[in-house]
Amino acid sequence: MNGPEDFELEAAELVRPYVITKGRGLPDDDQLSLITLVTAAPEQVQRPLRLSPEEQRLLDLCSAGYLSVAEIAGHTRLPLGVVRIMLAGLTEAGYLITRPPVARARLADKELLEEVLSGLRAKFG
Amino acid sequence: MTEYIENPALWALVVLLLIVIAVVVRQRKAAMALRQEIAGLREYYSDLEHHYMQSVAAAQEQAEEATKTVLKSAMRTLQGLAAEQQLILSRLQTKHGESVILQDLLEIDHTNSQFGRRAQSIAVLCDGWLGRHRDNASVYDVVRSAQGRVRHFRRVEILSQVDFGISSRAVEPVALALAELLDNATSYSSPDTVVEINIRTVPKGVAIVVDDAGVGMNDEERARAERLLSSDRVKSVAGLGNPPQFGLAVIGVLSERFGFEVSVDSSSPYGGVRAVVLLPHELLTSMPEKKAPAPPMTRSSVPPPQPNGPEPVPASPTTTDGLPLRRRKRPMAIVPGSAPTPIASARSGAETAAIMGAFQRGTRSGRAARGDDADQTSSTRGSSSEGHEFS
Amino acid sequence: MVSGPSLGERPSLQSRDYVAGGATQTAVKILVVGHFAVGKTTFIGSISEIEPLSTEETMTRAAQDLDDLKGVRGKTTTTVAMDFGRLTISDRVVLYLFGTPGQVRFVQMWEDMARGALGALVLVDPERLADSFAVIDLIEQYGLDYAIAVNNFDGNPQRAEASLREALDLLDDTPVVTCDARDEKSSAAALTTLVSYLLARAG
Repeated sequence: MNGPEDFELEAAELVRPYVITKGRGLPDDDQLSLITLVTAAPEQVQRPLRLSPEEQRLLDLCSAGYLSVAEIAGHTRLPLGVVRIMLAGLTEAGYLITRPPVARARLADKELLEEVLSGLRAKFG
Repeated sequence: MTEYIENPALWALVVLLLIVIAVVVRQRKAAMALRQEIAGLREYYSDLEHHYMQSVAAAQEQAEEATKTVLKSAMRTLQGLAAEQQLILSRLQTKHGESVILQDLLEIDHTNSQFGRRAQSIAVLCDGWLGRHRDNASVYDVVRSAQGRVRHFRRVEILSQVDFGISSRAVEPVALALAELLDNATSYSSPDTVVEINIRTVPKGVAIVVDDAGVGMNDEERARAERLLSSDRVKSVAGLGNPPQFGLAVIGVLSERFGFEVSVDSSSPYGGVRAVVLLPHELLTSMPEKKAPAPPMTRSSVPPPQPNGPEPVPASPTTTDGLPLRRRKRPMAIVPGSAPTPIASARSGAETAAIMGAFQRGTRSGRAARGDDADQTSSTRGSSSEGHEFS
Repeated sequence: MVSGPSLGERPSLQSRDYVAGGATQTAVKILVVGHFAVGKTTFIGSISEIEPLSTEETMTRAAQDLDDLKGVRGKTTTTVAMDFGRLTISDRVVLYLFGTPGQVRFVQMWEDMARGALGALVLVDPERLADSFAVIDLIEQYGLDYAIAVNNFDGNPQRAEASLREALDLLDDTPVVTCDARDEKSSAAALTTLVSYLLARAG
């Protein structure tokens, strides 16, 4: 029965992503966008054992500085939405702090664009 | 004396007597023969009855076997499809992880897992297929896998963990048995209560303790449960009642075949049932290593591509130079305030219909580009000939 | 056999992987869009201060790298991936570059990407002009300002800018630059052109 084809057949992940997210819903984009910067809260005396290994690793990842949500997802290789759900949960529980990106009103801000432009020029001549 | 001898009456009497004797003797003979016949008939009848019972039992057994064979192969197909769909869902979840569609994909995934589990349970009762091969996995992950296979998984909380793994051949059986226990625990307790799982090391191995806050079981239910879990459980699929109660029978079969113990005979501290799965040392491994350290998905880690055939370019209007020609589009109010006010007036007056058309074109070309992916999924089609089989 | 959607080993990031001065930074983003295999990934890779990351799935990784091949007329099995790079502009601003695929199947994804973007740089292959139409259409529909960067593949004859403008039906002030996505300076120049244009429109 075991043709060579059979070896390619693989089982899907043992633990399904909806279990990892504990069935929670996606957070608002305003709450956690792709470029929201995230870091671990400074006062992390003890992490309860109840955190899943995935949550523990997210906290580890965020413990040494700021990363954007997109970067965290890229480093973890989990679906971005799954990472966002977990990050939102950890933020609500007080383990993480987030810095939302520039407010919409400031997007057209000349100053911001000028800063980007001069930054680019300074960097690349 | 002679007068007597000559008396015809006497002769008549003698003759009569002889006749009577003859008749009696004959009747006796006949009766004897009849009795023998009856006895013979009785014997024959009981013989017949015996054979009949035997053939009925054989027929029943045959029918049961036939039913099992049919069910087993039907379930194999369903299980294969569920497994295939699970892989597709995994892929979609990664692909559209950044989209709100993820939410729906996760829900479909959950439904699919329940569906797969039902088919798997029936398969177990038919000595069928358990599923695709699994690697060693941590007890915690096996418990979470079980959790994901029941409808009310949100009500299940894992309160403690241990640093042990479960050996590959026991991963599916333990996950399935535990899923059936969790299904019972969540089904027979109030929707606002939590089902607690504690994983503990004990001298005999690892115990997974499931406590629900339901109403518990009465003596009769407990006896029935014990019977289903023991080896003299109902052996036939037909004996599972209507609606069929698979759970405990499945657990009974699995625990016997794979050598772990399941008991449901104690009460939980919350008044419901306490179920305990005891995994002996033979089924345990050390904490499984994570797969090869997953590097972040950077471009340099990507294997070299294989170039392929040309890509069709759709025919469309062209410029005077012979270049394909595009028509400018007007912004749609989908992302309010996402950019400095677009100067719509300066743009060409494309109709809304045209805009929608462009959207569709975009999505269509996307779909067309993905056509090859269908081939990938078909590589999972032989799902009915791998993995671990019972017996 | 997949071991689960695991995070793999505990990722060992170095300090340069983190956003410098993240506590005070403002994050902004610019989209780098274009059709399949036009060189978006190469572009981001040439200019990003971190190794470009991707939310791409593992299973089809082999196909996705086609994006890097110049002039490849490859099988279009690439999946919707979002790859991104980072550029710390100053103490106050960090710029994220999001590479967005040309295959547009889910409008929602575009909404997520476009929301809050400063603008978009559209990479165009002059030999496959029609392939860029759908993506430019979408950028316009989302009301994002954009500049065109013609990725100058080796050996390909350069099209006259005027005919390119006509073919793409561009506004007169939409910048068109040529660039070599493999070259940091060239990529940076294209980006600078875009930001100057955005600034001009904001003013």
